[in-house]
Amino acid sequence: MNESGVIRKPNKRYARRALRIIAFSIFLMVIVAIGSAVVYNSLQDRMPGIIEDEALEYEAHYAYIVTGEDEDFWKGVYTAACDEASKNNIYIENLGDSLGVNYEDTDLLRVAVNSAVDGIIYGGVTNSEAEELINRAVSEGIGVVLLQNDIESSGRQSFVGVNNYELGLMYASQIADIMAGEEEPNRKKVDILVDRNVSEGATNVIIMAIEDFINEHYPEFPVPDMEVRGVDTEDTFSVEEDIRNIFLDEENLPDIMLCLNSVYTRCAYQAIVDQNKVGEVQVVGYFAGSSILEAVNKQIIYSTISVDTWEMGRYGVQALNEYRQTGYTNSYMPVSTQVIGYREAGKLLARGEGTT
Amino acid sequence: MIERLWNRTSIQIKLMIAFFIPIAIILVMNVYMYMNVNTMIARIDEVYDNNVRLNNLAENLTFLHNSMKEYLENKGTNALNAYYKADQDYRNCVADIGESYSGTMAVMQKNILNQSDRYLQVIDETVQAKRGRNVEKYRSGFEEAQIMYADLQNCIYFLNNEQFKINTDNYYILLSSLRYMEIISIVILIIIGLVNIVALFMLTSSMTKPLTELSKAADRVAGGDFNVTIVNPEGEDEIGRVSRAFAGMVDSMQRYIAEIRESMLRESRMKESELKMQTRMREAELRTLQAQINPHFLFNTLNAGAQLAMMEDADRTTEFIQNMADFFRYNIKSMDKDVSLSEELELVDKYIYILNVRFDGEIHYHKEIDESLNDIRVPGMILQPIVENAVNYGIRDIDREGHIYLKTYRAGDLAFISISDNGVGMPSDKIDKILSGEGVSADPGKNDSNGIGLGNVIERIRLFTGRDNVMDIISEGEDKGTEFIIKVPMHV
Repeated sequence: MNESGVIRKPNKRYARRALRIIAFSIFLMVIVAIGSAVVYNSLQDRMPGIIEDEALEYEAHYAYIVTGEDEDFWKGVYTAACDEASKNNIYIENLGDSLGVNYEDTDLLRVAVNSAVDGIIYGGVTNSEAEELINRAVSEGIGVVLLQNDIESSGRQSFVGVNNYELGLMYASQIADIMAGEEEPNRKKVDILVDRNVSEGATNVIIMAIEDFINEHYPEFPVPDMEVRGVDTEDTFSVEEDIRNIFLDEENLPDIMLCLNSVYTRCAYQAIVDQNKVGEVQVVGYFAGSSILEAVNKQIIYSTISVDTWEMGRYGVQALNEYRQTGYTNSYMPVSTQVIGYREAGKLLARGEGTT
Repeated sequence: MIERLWNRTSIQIKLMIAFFIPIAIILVMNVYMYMNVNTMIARIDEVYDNNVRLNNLAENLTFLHNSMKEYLENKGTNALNAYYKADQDYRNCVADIGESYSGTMAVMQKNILNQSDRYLQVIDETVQAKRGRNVEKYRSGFEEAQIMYADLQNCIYFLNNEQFKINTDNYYILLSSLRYMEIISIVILIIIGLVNIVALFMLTSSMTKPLTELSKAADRVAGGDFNVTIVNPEGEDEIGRVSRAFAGMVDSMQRYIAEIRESMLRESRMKESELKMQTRMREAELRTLQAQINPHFLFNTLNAGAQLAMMEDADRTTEFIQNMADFFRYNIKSMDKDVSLSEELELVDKYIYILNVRFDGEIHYHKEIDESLNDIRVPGMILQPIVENAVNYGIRDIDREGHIYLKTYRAGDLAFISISDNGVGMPSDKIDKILSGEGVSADPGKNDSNGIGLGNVIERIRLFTGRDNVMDIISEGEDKGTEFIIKVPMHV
């Protein structure tokens, strides 16, 4: 028998294991803490809203106020203006969009003036109230650029758009075209659709331009019998109703209808289709939006006068920048216009244009 | 180092560490989660802060406008004071909005601030006009203020609305983040809980393992198996101490058991020798019985003989019979006990006397005694058989004079008793036989022996001394005599 049966075994193994467990626990705690910190941080990163808008400090702030109608047209202008403004770190605020309430153009103008914006691009109604506010803005050192419709008597810095006389000449050329297409052109009844608020002077300039053009270039043609039809733009659906009424009045149906903005054009196009007057009433529209181009292409509308919205927006911003920097700017900046017949419309549609 | 420290730590501390670490881990994690969730909730609170400020602004604006209107209506001092207070409040609110926004919101904010400035200016002028009783001016001023008030409210409403849209988005993001946090927290807590359970299990088992093994070892020891393994005998904690004590205890037990076993062995050996002694004695008694001698009858007879001889004045006969009686008495009495050496020597003297009477003085007996050895204890009846042997086989049949020499002396721890003769000697094979104890039982039928053989003598001396080497027999050849040397320790 073994002298000493007791084998003494050191418990190093256990001691080491216990130490390892403690070390592991501490290690685990650290890992979990770090891990959760990482997760927490990644969660924070997923909160872009909390981290506020990138702190864009704009150099200047222009208010863009246009009439609520003719949306396609003015959207095109706004896009161009924003594009131009972004080059100079300028913010263009579409005030009508910003204020949720159905504000009149003049109300917006007042808000803009009271807000002490750095410049106003205005394409709204041209009444005396607007003129007064424009004058007040100018007196407070705010540059004002008018688009499309001018108020020459106001103190505005610049007007960007088409001269009414030139516009009249372009419409006249289309009237002549229509008459030239007939074997024995008779005296045409021409309706000119304008805003009721547009001054008589402006419409007279257009009529005069048409008469001048016919007399000068086509003396053999009888001068058309022109009638200005003021369209009610006050109420929401009044434009559509007014134009529809023209087509319903069979006895006084015009031969040619001149639409001086894109909304009238679209309404006229719809009315012609609805009343089945295609070919009976020739419409010369305004603006080259996609639906108008299609109408031209289908020869439902005879042609349309396209105004370059891109130029209009850019020139507006440029004029304000110039005024802000130098104190002066061109008082009139013409934009390109183009007559689009059905051939041109086809080409433009094929190219995918006319979306603005 | 740390290992040694851990070994030295008491179980209480170890257990505290084992429980404290998991609790600490869970506690720390909980605090951490709680802080995270708190931060998140604080951020959610912040989200609508802007809206609250804008609402505040709108409310103050309304209050200011109304107080202005009230003053214009009744021109009271209280109304004026209220107006000024409202004016100040509104200015504070405007200042409070300060630089809260950036980007497009900042533009809207700028619009509101500018309009506010103008509005404040207009109403101030209006109030002044009222105080100055300029009716025309304060009427127009009020109308303008009315319009501006509506514009401002609209602008604030719009900004508030825009902010609210963004904030609502943020709120949902935060809310979902909070939910993620909750899930993550729960998952982390579950993981930590599980790991803690495992760690705790391992930690406690690492502590209780030595204890478990110790209890197993104790079971085995209780079952009589001393070949046990004890873990952590050098540990400084309670288990280590118990282990050490247990190991020591097992060692002691083993030692004691070994000692007890040895003493039991010795005892049994002693018992065995006692038994043998008794056997020999019975043997001797048997011989006596075989001789059909009744010792008492013999002694009485011999005494009667001695008295008779005395009465007849036969002194020599008296002495003879007396010696013979003493011899036989000694013979009977001393067989089963130890005696002093001097008693043995006396017996040899008596025996030689008897023989010389029988054989007419043929035996020449010489003795050389170390008196200091007279008191040592020897088994009874050991010298006489050897002398008898020397007479019967040594010198009886020789033609020359027979001499017997008896000598006692001492060397070291041993006492030597030498009995030699000048007889026929003894062949070595016979010597070996005698010493190994085989074939030399006395033959009581033969010769006139007292019946005790050399084997018996040697055996008894061996048993008495506990030694093997108790006798040498030396014979240098035929007719060169034989010497028996008995060796006994001085103290048995």
